[in-house]
Amino acid sequence: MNENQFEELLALRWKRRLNEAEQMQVDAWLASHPAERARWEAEVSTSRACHELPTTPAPSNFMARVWQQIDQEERRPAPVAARWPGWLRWPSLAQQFAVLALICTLTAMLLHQRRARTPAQLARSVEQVAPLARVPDLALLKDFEAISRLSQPGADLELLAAFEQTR
Amino acid sequence: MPADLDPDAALMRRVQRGDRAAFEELVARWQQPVLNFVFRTLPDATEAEDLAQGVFVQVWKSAARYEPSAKFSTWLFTIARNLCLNEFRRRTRHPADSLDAPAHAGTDEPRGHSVEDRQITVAPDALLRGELEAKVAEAVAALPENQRTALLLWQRDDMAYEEIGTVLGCSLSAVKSLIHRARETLKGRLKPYLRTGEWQTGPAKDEK
Repeated sequence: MNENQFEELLALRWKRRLNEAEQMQVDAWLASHPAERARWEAEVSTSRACHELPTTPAPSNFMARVWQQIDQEERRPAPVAARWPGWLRWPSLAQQFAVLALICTLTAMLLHQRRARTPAQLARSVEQVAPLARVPDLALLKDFEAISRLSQPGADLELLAAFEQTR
Repeated sequence: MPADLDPDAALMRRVQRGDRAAFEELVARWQQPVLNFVFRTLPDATEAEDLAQGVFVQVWKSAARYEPSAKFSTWLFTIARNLCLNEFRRRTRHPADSLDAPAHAGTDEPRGHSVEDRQITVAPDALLRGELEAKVAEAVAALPENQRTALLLWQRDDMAYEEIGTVLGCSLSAVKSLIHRARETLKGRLKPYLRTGEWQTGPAKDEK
């Protein structure tokens, strides 16, 4: 017998008494490994103590009480939630959170796509807007007076005179 | 034992068809082993009885889910273990539940039982004879749940490592490891009380 087999018999001793052949194997092993004897006896004592622990006997009305509990539960109406099919029931908190997270993610993605324009898209936008918003002559922009009058409606004679002077 | 030769599996097939006599036979056969298992986990006789009854109520309600290919005892102790775990979780959430509260919400039925017990019950305290037995019970109850469950099931004649692994949801090697650790823990805790032959008050109960 080897050590693994001894360990198996140690474990088996917790389940049942060893048969004659198994006991002879253990005796032979202990004879050649006397240091294991104390361990074997501790296992036997502990397993016997656990087996001999008193238990509570089942009451005589055990079966009657089981039937009583079954009858009570069968008479109880089913919970409201259970009457509805699964897909109609109010989703759980986790499901609600998951849906909310999905909506937020999709919204963020859509907003990001709107803001993120490629340079080509930007250039086309400028090209479309440029004819509508002509930028005055660079020389004119150097003159503060002229700039301050740019937003005024109607012909500005003074501005026209300023143009004449800068030519 | 193969499931197709398991007499309990045959009884369960009858229970699945609503056979109450078959169910009563199963309960008669397994009520004490289940009660012993639960009592080691919840060392209170009244609570252990309530929970053990709950195990069989669950067996009746879940009969349709029983697979005849599986051994009945494996399925039964899986239910028992799960109900014990639920009870631990409930105690963690509601540690101050009164023992006088109604057993079922919505009813006025007291927690006590309306069906009379004709047998004289022994007070739990009287069951623990002596300080040594109390120490052993305390040591077993103090084991981590998975080690205790593995060891209690291993002590049964009819449960092999594989079946215990099914109940615990772990591998065969993990079961062996759990049982080994449980044994070593118990030996360590009970070392001051262990003497060769000290436990023998008569023929050992596990003598076969």
